[in-house]
Amino acid sequence: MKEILPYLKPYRGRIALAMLLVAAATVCDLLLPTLMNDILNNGVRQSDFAYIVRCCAWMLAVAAAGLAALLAGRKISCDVVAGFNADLRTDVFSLVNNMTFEEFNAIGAAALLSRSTYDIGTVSWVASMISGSLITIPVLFFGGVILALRKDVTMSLILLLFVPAIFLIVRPISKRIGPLHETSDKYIDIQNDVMRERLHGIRVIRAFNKEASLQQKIADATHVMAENIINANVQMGLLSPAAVLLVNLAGVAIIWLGGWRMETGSHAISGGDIFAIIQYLALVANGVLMGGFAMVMLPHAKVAADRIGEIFHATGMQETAKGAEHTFGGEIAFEHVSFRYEGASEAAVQDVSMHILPGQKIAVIGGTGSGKSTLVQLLLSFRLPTEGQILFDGVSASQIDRGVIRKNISCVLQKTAVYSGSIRHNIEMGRPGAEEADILEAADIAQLTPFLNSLPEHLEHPLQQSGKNLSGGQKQRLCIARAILKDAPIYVFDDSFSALDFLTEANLRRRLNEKIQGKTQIVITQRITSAMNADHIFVMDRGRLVDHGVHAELLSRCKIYQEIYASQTGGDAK
Amino acid sequence: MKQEQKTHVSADALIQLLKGAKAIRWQLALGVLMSLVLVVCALIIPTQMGALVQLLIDYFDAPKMGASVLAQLAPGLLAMAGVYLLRAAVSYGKMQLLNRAVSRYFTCNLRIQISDKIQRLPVSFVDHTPVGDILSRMTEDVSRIGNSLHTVLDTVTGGFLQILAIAVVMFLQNWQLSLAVIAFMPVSIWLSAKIAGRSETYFHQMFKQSGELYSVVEEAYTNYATTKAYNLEEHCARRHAEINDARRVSEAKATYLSAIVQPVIAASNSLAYIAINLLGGWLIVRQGVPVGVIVTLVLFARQFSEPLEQISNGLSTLQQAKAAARRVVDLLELPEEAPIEQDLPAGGDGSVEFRHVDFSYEPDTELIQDLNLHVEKGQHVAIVGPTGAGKTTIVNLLMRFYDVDSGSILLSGHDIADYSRASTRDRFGMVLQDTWLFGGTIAENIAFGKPDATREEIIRACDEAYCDHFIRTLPQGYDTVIGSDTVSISSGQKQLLTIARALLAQRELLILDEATSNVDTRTELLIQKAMDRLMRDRTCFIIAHRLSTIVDADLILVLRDGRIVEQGKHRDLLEKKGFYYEIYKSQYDIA
Repeated sequence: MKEILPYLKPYRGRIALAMLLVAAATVCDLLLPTLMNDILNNGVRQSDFAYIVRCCAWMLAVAAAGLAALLAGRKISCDVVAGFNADLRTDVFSLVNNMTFEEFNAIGAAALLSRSTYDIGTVSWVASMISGSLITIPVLFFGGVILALRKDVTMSLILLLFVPAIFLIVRPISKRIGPLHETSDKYIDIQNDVMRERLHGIRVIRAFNKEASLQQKIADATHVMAENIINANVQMGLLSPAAVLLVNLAGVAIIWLGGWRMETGSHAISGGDIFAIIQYLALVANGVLMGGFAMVMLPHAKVAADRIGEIFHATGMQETAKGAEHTFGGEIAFEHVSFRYEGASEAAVQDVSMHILPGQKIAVIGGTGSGKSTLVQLLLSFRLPTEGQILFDGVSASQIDRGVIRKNISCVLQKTAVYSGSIRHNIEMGRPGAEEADILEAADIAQLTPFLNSLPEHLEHPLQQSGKNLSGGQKQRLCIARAILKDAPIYVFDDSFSALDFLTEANLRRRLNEKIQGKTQIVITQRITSAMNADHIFVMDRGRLVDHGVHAELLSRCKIYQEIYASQTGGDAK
Repeated sequence: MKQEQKTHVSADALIQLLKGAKAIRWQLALGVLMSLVLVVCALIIPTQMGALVQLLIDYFDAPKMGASVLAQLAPGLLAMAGVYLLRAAVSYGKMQLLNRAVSRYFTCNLRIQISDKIQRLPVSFVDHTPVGDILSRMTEDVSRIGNSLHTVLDTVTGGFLQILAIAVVMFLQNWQLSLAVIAFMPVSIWLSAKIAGRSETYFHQMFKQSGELYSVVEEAYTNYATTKAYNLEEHCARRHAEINDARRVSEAKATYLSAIVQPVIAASNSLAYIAINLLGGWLIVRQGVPVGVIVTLVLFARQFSEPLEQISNGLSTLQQAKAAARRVVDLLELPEEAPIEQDLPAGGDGSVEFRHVDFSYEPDTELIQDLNLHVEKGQHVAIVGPTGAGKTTIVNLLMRFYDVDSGSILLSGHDIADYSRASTRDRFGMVLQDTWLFGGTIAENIAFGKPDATREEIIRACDEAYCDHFIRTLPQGYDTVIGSDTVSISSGQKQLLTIARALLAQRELLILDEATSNVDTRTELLIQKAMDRLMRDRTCFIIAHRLSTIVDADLILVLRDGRIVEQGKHRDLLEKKGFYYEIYKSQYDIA
């Protein structure tokens, strides 16, 4: 909550103005029955029609003023809520983009996504609901009470009694609703999970003829969810009839009290006054009821606000040295680099030293968990080494601006990244504003030309979100084209050829080598055929660099390299 | 014109859904009845109240000695209290009824209906429809229909009846005053409908922009690392800001327009209120109409605003319900796979035959043409070819995930198209590259193809698949729940689990995918050993990656661009020096 509230600060002037306007409108609302009371008490009783007309003119003026004030107030508050919403979205988005990888992974992309969208939506929805009633509630309440007090003190006490009565109803309801929503949320997740599982696993499920049992699982989850939602709604639904009943019974009590006082003759009160008090009662009740609804909604908003609040606790990337922009020569050195993920008992990378010369073609090979992808993250300054240092052209990476490092490294990461937009848009991201010929050349080197030619829109072919309409190999080639276009002194390919067949890879690598001749090239791979032609091969295992050399050397002396070779050539092709 | 037609169609969709709601028609009828009771209550109350206030005013002006005003008030007050209680009870009951019948039907049954529908849809539908789209129909659209139908039903049964009844009773009380009140009604309905219509446009815009914003954020978070590696943070932020700004404008407009509906109605109501005062004053002063009548009419006029707001609300939500209903009905009406009751006869020689099979995913791009092949029991068929060449097409046809366009596939001499899909699938075991495990315990996952398997059988299968050891190292062993964040199972281990699953299922035919990406070498050796054990004595279709599998295969199918370009044994294919030879060279003689 406390992280979110400051976002209202820039709007405080306007919020105050809106409140004032809404308060004025509410006062106008309250004045109407008062004026009517005057008509009944004075105009009608004295048969003074001119007085009645005057009063009506006043009423018209008051109603017009009230409408104007309300419209203006609503306009301001809608603008404020929309602005607050947009500000929060912008800031949360940039906060997340500035997180460290640890922070990002700790919450997870899916959760961050719902926080950046739904949760903000919930908070601002409740904000708009409350902003509409926040000022109206007290004005209606106190206004009604004061006006009623002017008419009669004891009768007004009945109005005041109304407050604790309503809250007696509201409190247990809002207490019960929270857990119901929590449970139903949980089962919505289950329902969605099973459904998603079913759609993704449709082949296996059908192969085992298990559709019916999963259908049952979904039905069960849906029943529990519906049960909880319905119960929550029923609880909420209790509030309104109960409150209305209370108001009405209070009205009955007021009439009875009026009759009793007339009969006994003490503190007699006019019929017009009694009617006025009954109308005030409706206003007061309205205010209190609005407050009740707000109270019921608040817990929901608080949950959402707290979830967003976590994002504000992220420290984000620390600033590195602001080095001047320059182009690297392509020499890279790892000096006793170790990296340990936070909370991990073992280091992901342990005491790795390597020296890569400009223009060298390097391969890093190893199985899963060998730490080779962590090397890429360290190289790109996504994470900082816990020990040791990385040097570019002999300058420590910590002395160079992160943005400059990334500008000098063109990489294809293990997880292919496709952005919605055209194929051209996706490739051009490597070098915004690149010439058409360069884009086509990059695509051609990445072996995309036959694919492009099969598309009527060619480069303009639209890609769906996350490249759903592309195969794994097409996605990889697209990302490779993007990297080729980027034109940097250092190229990194992290498991980037895994979805390509060997023939395509061979053609691609040949063209690639011609294109980036003289630039440093690092290929991270598990595939022996992707590594064996490198100038120098580094073998990683369990976070350590176990050996390095050329293919023939490693094949003759490195046990792990031999194992990989044997397993991938079927064991019998040695 | 086109737009008009579209709305017409969607109105039908809503009616179709309502027709489907036959099961709850009695509840709906009861709901209407309760609304009637509420309307009657709403009529009695102001009339009574007016009479009582009149009584008080008369008594105050001219207290009659001896006559007890309380005695006169008592029956009326009691009656009112009774009516209030009745009204509260009925409106609570109606709320319960609508929630329990309508919401249950629409939030629960409709979802289950959709989920049920998926079972009977062809795999091709699921392949071509984004998962998010189906999910959003099942959750968002259904709840949108439920919510708005709730409002609409309330409006239809309550609002209109109430307005009508109030109008009639008011006329009976005093026609001049009633005319004054009712004169404002069409104006406020027209105004609010107009405003709601315009807000709809902006809401639509805002929803669309929210969707775009969602995509930008989703994209930025899923591509987190690449975005940073290419220094694209600002680019993303700019796009986000652009859409966010546009969205802010639409939101402000949409919410403002919908926020002023209520004040506008309230204002027109105030006008009616003033008109009653003016006209009423004149009537009382000049015509001697009793004050109680005015009180009654003022109360009625106040009551008018509630159904009016309801109706204008209902009008705008109806639009949403229509659009959502269209999406749901579209899904529910998709053509289903034709059910076949008869099961494939048991036994037979266990051979598999493709006879003149033609198949394509899309009508104008031919894939498989006149494929013929004959596989004897126990033979191994290796399917090789570059990525994206359609190796899974063969699997799709064998398992009847897709049906052949012409020709036939025979199992032990029987055309599988003549028998139920389930009975064909029962013959096959499958280990795919995309290791699919569902959220449940390890034991449940292993026993997926044989739910009645004993723990001993499960353990034996796991032992044979070399995963017994690692399962025992997990916190709850075989009862460890997969999918919770606390347990991490590597992709190689997952593969072993699916092999154990296939071993336990004991099917005579087998479909295997050898590709094991992201697996360390030791696990890969285990996987190979387990697969070898699985393949022994079974007829196998293998999407092959290992040289030994290919060399030893009884038949090799070479695929390129979705077509089978060559088939035969290793030695014969090498001698042909065709595409197979090319692949073989590039893969194993790259040095």
